Amino acid sequence: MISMTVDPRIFLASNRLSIFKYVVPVLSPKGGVGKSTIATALSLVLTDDFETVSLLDLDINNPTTHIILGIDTGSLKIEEDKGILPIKLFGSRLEFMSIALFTGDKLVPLRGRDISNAILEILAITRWSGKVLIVDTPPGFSDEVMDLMRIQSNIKPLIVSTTDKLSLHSASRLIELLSSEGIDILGIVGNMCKDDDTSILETYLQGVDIIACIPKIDGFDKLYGCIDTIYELFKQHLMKVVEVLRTR
Amino acid sequence: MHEWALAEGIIEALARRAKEAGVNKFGMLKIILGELQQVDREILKYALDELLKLAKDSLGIIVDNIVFEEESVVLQCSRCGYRWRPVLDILDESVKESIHFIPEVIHVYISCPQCGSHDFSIIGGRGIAIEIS
Repeated sequence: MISMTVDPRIFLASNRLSIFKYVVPVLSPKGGVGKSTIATALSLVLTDDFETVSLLDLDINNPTTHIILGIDTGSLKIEEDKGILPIKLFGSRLEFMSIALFTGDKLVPLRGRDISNAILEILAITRWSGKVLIVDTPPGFSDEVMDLMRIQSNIKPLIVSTTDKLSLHSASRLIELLSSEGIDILGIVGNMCKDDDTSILETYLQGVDIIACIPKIDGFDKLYGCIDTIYELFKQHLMKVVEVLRTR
Repeated sequence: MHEWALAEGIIEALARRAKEAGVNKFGMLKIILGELQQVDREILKYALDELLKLAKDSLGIIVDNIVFEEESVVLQCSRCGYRWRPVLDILDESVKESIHFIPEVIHVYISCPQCGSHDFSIIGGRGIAIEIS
């Protein structure tokens, strides 16, 4: 037999993700639209329908989801059991993983190949137990999203956009790309919206359902760490995302 | 143990290779251990032996010989080109543990000894790779 070199993590990562019925990356090519907020809030709201919800912060360079969740990375001890176990939150209904748990909450200066390796390592060693995985992603459409899609092709992306023209234009490009690859886009969540903004989103982003239109919440950063309040605030808006997910 | 997860990945790779090639018996499994990840070779070997027993029973997979090879870690600065071997022993235990889980986080904790940049590449000895023959 011909000798061949193999990276065993690829198979392990693929196996780890195969336990999920739904893998939902929260995407936007434009920064500052609230992806991390929506990803966090959605994972909390989903706990109404799923016994355990898994949340992965895949922003490798500058992860922030743990800040919204109020996690003090310095006080945590990662548990091991034939891999690493995600952190349990929200009465153990939410499980969470982020590279921030290993970096002392510092910026992680990595280039593409190193980002891919870090992602593969996280996906290979994290032992999830949920049925739905929400993935917070960095702005753009680069290593983080493409590596996830390489390992798990059956994803249902949720696109976040504001009604700012640059955000709408960026979201429109993303829809075009994902559609051309036959990817089942779950829908669009409008963020920081005003009353009549649904029609703007519908006009610019045709062909994909506008599932929710969430108003701007002034002083939201003061709620970081108050996950019960975040859950209550977003429940009414994101319940529709849960309903749509159930139909897929 | 992280080593158990790595052993699971190796077994999965063997199972897929067996399926692709239509063979169950392998002459040699070479496991290359990069210094940076600080994998405990004895624990990995134990985990592999245990999982191989299960793989033999369930899939008929047999490996005649397992060989370990260690690879030194080498870093190269992308800014000034300096190439060096970092001394890992001087790092805090918590930092070493973080690097053990995700070797790339070394970029957070060390910088180029010549120019101070964090923009460097891991050009050797990162983690684990296997050769199946």
